Amino acid sequence: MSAGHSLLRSWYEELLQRTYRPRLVPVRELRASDTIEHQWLSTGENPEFRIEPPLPQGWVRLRLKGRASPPALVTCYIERGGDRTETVVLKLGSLNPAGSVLDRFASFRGARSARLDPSLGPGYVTIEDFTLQRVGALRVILHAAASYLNDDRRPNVWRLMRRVLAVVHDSGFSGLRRKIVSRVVNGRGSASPYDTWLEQDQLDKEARTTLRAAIDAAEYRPTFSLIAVVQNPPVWQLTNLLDSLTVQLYPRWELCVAFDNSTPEDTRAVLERYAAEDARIRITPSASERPSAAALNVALGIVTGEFIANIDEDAELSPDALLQCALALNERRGADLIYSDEDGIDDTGTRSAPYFKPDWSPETLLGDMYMGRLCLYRRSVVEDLKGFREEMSDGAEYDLALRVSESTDRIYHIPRVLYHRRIKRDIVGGGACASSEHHEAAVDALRQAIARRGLRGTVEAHERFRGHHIVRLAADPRQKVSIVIPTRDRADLLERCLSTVFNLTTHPNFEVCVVDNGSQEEATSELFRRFHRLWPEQFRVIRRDVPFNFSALVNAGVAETDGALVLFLNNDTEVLDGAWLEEMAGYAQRAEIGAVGCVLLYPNRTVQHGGVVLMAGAVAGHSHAGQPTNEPGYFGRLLAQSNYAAVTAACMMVRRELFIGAGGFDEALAVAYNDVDFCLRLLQRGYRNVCLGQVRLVHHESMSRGSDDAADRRARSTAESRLMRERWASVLDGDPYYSPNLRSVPPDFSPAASTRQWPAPSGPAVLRDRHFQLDALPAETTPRWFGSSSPRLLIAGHSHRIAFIDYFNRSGHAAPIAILDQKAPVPLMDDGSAFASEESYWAVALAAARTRRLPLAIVWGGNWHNAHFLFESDERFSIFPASGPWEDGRPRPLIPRSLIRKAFAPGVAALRAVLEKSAGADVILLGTPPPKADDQVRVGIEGEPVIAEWAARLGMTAATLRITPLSVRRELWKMTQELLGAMCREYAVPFIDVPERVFSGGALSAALSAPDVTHANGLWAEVMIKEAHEALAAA
Amino acid sequence: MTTKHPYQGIPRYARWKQGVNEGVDRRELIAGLRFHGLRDDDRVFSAGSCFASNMVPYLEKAGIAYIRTEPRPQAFSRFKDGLGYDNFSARFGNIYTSRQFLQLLLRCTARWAPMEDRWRTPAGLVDPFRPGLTYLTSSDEEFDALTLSHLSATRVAIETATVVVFTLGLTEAWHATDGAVFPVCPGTVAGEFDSNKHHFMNLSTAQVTEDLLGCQGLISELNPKARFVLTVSPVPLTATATGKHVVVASLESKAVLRAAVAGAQAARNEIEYFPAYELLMGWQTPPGSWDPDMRTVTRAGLDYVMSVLLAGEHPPTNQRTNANRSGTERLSQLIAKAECDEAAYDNFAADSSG
Repeated sequence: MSAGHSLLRSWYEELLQRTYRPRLVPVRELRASDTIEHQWLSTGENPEFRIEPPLPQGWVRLRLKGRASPPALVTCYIERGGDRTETVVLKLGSLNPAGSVLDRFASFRGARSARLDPSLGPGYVTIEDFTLQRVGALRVILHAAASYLNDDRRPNVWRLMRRVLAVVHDSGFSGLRRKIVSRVVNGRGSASPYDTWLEQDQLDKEARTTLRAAIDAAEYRPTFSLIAVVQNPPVWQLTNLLDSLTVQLYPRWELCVAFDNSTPEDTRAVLERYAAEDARIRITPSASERPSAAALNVALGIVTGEFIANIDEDAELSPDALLQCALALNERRGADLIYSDEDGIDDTGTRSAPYFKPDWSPETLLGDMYMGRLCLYRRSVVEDLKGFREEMSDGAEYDLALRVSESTDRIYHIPRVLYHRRIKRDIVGGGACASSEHHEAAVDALRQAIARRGLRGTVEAHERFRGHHIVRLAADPRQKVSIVIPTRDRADLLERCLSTVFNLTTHPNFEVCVVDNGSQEEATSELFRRFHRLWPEQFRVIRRDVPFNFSALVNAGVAETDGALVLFLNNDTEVLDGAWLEEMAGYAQRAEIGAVGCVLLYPNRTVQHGGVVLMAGAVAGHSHAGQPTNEPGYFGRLLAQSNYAAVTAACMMVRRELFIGAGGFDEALAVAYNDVDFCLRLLQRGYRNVCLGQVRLVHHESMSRGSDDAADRRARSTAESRLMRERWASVLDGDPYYSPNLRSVPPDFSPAASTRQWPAPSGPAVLRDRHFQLDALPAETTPRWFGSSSPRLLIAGHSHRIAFIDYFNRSGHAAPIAILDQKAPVPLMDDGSAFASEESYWAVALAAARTRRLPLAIVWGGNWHNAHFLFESDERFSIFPASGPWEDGRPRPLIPRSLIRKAFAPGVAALRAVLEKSAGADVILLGTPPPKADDQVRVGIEGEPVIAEWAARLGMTAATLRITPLSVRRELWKMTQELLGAMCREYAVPFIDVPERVFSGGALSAALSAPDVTHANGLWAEVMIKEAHEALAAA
Repeated sequence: MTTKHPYQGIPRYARWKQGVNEGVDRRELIAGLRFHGLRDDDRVFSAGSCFASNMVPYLEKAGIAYIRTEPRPQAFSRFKDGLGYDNFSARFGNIYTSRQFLQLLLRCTARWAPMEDRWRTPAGLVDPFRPGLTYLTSSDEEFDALTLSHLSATRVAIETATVVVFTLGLTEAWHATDGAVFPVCPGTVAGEFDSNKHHFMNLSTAQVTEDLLGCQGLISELNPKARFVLTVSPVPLTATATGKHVVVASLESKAVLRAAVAGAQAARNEIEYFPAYELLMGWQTPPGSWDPDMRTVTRAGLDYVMSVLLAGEHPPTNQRTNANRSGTERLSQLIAKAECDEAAYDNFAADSSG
């Protein structure tokens, strides 16, 4: 087709379709981006375009294609003339960062002027296309009817007619018209992703029933005290708020409303009416001139609930809001602060701009008060902190959140939209804009928080997005940073990297160690020589000519250097700002921080990495990839410090001790995900990872790693993904810093098609804990087996393994067993020689059994009968079939065995996690020693000073403490053996019963006893090993 | 001095105008009922409807010993209910009718045994007379041992009491073919209803009086020194099987129970009555004594009743060996902590099965 023909055709189409592409003229609060086409920066709350005339007349289809960060609600205002001017408000829908197409019909009859407000607040909006298309009324009605009456958007005439008939049958023709008109005017024609999300989050009758049943079954029902400071809201907004409270599914709340002299009479009348009708609503006057913090304290003084929450006078709560909070508190009884997601609601009740928040993110809180609302504080905690600080004025709530987070870490997030914030808007413009006072108050609150925490640093409001704050922590310059740069040739890239590092960096104390992986070009050697001449003290090269393995190169670099901090840097990066190293060190030096990363940019200045997000069902991806760098990211996440599950090793800083302690990078992950794997190990050890939005480097992202062919690469990448899934599946599926309500693949912060983590949208929220499962654990690097060098049996387990150690020692180290020891949890900053957790211990034990093809004998628990029942209180009891005669001649009430079983269950149940993972390993479980006779127990007690001390407190001595009768203890012990045996049968694991010959007088024979209350000695171990070998031989 | 007629010289509280309109002295409400109060050295046994269990915390707070022969072992303090340890002197659970209490006493003294004494369910054997217990066994031998242990504990409780309090709750009951009365209709809390085996009865005034006299006889046989105090629960029925409106059925049943108590008192001088029913259902009952559902006595209502029950001086005594109660399990755990490394796995689960 010739160009001319094509042009003609497009002109013809345009004529036929009567499509206009009107020019958008910025009127106010809009600045065109100088780098990105079609992109505008909204600088205030009321950005406005004029839609350049001529305007079409009649019915018009408006289509707008674009994106916005943060998500923005687009509104069109049409002024219709005649004798009386009339303004029609048309909500086009929300633009989100991933891009949206908004599509609406409107009547432009008599339109004299029109304007387009692309956003309701500061941020970036990109409008790629905006068209007005004249259409016939019939088409509008058909389209609207179809969109209303059809489930999908493709009109199906037959279904349409059936639906029409159904609607007419139910509500007559007027009903049909009403529905269609409402669809045209309210336009659900082009559902935004959030609309779609909302559809599957409906609180229908069934959901309400489920929720009610859940709360009826809950044992804890706290009272919530909500505090609202009411000044002068439109009365209907206030009644909406009050109504949204009175219809709460959860009844235990009170609302305390503080008002002041500026509150108008009719508003007060509404309050008084509601207070008269519902005793839970109380109103109290606040004398203060500056209402906020002071009024909050007045309200705080009269509330009685266990938790308090501040709510806005014009907001609304979802009907299940307080119920979800109550359910969450049943899951986390100790919670001191819980917060929920929120969205915006406008005057038509339309919801948009959802904020799906991360789980508790202390560093993110330093950037802004991201917890927002609904935010429930435990009242006793707030009272201990003496409430809101009035001198903080508008920053009082942020200040409180910061102080609370310093006094507790029991802070949880409910990933549900429970709060609808009023989108402030009036047609004339001039909506509320956060005052500069407000920003100052927030900066002040942060400065004091930094000081209180004993940190040194600066706080600065972001220059364009004033509500976000950059916190720079002062780095200790005495700590050297060792920068490790793996490289292979491409001297041009490396030169740019090295020269910007050396020439710009302000941190005084760093060294660079280039790990050369097989460079061959002369230019590279020349580059090395030059930098060595220039920076002889700070620059060196080590050579590792091995097949490319990023992890191995990094590990080698760390081993060759000695800085307290290490920084991994790709050879194709470029430093932009000299403060980078200091800023990263400021965070990396903090005890609770693990890895620190930064924002990386493509050469075209779009984002390459803004923190790593774990992807459910996959592995991980870079957040904000492809976004223009001047955009703020999802609710400001690109602007300042934010917690992420991981950061890229293209630029990552970490303390050396942590790197070593966590075992370094895993060389099994040669190319991909070694950084994610490492960061997850840090998370698992209780550290938080941070990405600094204020630190930015360019990443030229070239592949300078050799010549392996594409098929090879693909295979390796698949293998590495698989390995990651095997290790970390449950962690990858639940990134604590990326809401399950957001789309996971790709992680672009747009609403998920469905809520991922909580399958029933109505069901009670499940609060995630930073709790990792056994399957998420990589094997430790340095297990400590001791014993025979060619064992026939591996032994691992809890404290009863000491009998086996005794056996090994007694036999002159000739016993053919190996024992995995050193399992006690160790301090986190360990040297890598011990196990960080019970889980990692078992992971190593099972791995050893598999690789060495030896049977693993597990010694599991077995002290439950002692741990709860060794000593007897006044409530004597027995269990069937133990029967007297008892020493005091009185009968002992029997306790059902099922109750004891339940009491022992958790200790046994934990074994399940190990057996679940035992596939491929030859595992047996050993019975544990029976209880000891009373005199043996007393000997043991005397060896435990702590018991004597406690007994003294109870007015007793070790000799007079009443020991549960042996016959009862023996029955209790038998139950432990039954439970272990039953678990083994479930997994077809042999259980080695304790043989009769170890008993003497119904107790563990004294000859087999260790000199304490609980354990047996090496002779016992010998018996059990013999039994085990016999059982294995028989099998 | 001669009296013109019997109403001359009656106490002020015997006249409505003085006794009610001019202000009720709540302590006078027990006059003429032979209730001798509770003393600090009393050891109280109680059984009856759920209202009866309400008094236990008040007694213990007042320092009056409440007998428990099947106490909750410390190790289960974190378990919620389904255990039945905390409400009554032994684990017999709610006893709503005089007939069931009589039968319990007969079983304790080995004079009678019910035929339908266990229900076989997939979860285990259910005791039809204690259907609320949720920790079941599936072994007949253990079931027999548990039942025997319970009956013997109940007997010891009565033998060691100085005061036996029984609160009458209902007249309507379901019984087995041998007359064994169940606390609740089979099939509601546990078991299965079988219209061939399970029959309805509504005890008459005369039957209740007979039962109470029988109970009194058995109690004094077990413990000649024990006082026998009756009360009537003011709590209405949850439902009636008589076909009448539940309000009418409740009032009728309370009237029968109250009249039966009067009959028992007329027959035996030593039977005492404490007017919990009148305190909460009388014209003088303080407003706010009932929840809006009109079935639940509020805290204020209980305070009011208990202030009369415990009208004497009861200096708060030191709570019984509290240190010891929480101490021994702690000690047991310390041993484990000192010697073992698996303590982290060994926390009892808080029971959530309700």
